[in-house]
Amino acid sequence: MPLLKQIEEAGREFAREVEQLDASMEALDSLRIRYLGRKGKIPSLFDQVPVQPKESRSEAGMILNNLKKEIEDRIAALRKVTVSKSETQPTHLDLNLPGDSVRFGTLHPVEHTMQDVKNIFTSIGFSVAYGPEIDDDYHNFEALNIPKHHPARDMQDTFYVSEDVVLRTHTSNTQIHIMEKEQPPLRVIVPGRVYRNEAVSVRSYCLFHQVEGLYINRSVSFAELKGTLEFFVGKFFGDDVKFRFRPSFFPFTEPSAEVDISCLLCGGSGCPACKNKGWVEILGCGMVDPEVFRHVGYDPEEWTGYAFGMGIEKLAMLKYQIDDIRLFFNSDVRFLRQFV
Amino acid sequence: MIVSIDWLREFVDISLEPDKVADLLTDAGLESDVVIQGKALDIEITPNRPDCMSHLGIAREIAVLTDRKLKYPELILEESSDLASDLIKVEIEIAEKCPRYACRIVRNVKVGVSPSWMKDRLEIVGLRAINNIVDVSNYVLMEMGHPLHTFDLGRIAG
Repeated sequence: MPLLKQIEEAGREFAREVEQLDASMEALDSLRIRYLGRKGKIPSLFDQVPVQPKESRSEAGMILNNLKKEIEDRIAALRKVTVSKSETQPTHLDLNLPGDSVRFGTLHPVEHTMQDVKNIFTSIGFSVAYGPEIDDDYHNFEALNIPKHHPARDMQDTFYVSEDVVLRTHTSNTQIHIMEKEQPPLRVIVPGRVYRNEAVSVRSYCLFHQVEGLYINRSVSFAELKGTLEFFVGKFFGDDVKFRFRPSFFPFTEPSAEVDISCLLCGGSGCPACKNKGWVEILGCGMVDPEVFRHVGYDPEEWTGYAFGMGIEKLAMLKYQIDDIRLFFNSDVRFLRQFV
Repeated sequence: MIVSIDWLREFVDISLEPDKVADLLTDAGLESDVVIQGKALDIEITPNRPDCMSHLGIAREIAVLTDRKLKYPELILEESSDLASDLIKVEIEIAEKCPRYACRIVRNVKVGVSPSWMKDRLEIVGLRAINNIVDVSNYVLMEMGHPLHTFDLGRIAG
């Protein structure tokens, strides 16, 4: 077949193939390679040009060049259409898939428990106050009737910042700060962080949280203390939990007591969690010692009061049956996420 | 503080089971646990109750709580006519810190091993038996709550 005829034929064939082309990038590429590729139809036709008779050589070259240009333009045009099609029709989007959920943070169980305690006491008229975590010896000990060298200092292992400055060992330091500033009657709770120089174990940590309560008025009775704590225990642990007062000692209250509740695991019949006693201690309390009033300039003949203090981690451990206090401080999200 | 129930019985009749005794003491402000297979009590003594830091002190509490009589230890003392003050001179340098210092001289002491009943009691309350001299002073401390010390008269200079 003469070359000119072959060129004409190739042009027709290309037109036919374009008509049947499916609109994919792959098909377009394959078409381009078959015509314009190094071993494609157009280059193979060009190869024949030099062997043509001299007089028809330039005409054949010209026609073939035109066809090549035509094919290149056509493919470029088709490419534009195909690209824009694939952009407007994203094939990987599946609207049936559920979306990625956003992870919300949760309140730390200590904060959560603290808020529960605060809500219970503010609901019966207690206001909330805060005090310093780094305090002087006077407010943490001396004014609370714990003189230097008194055996009661051994009750708490203290972090001393200097000889006269400590990390507070209890929120009771704030009792003194409040009474120095305010005049009675007072009804306040003090949530906060406290520090003890103790070996870290399942049961003790070098820091923990307390909520302190202080009520001062004329003729405050132990019965009022009992009633307040009974209300708290019922609200926090539930009305079916039994509780008892057990005489104890704190230098800043007289008389002093500790409050036990019936073990939440065994209901009071005795189990390993309560060391077979059926009772677990939750807080310490008592009537404010007149000596404390003297330190802040209140007349102990006129004013009376009660105070109590509870450990937040301990309450949380009992309520949520957590057996290791260190879990609160390890920041392990597998633990923390369980408290929503 | 650990107290031996057997030891307590010298000062008060105890007819109750150890766990009942522990409950009574706990309710009285001396938080107690039964330990060493019921042979002893582990008592948490608050700083306001140094009077309870001995077997006699705990026995006193139990006597009151169970309405029994407290039997004080019987003291048998054979004194010689020699005065200790002739043999040793005690001087108190800071009277406000040490209002009273008492001492007694015991002659003809032979250092040896303590009788086994004494060693057993010391072991239960958590002390190691050394010899009869050391053991006696520890025994009296645990029984009466009064610390004391023994010196070798022959080695005291001055």
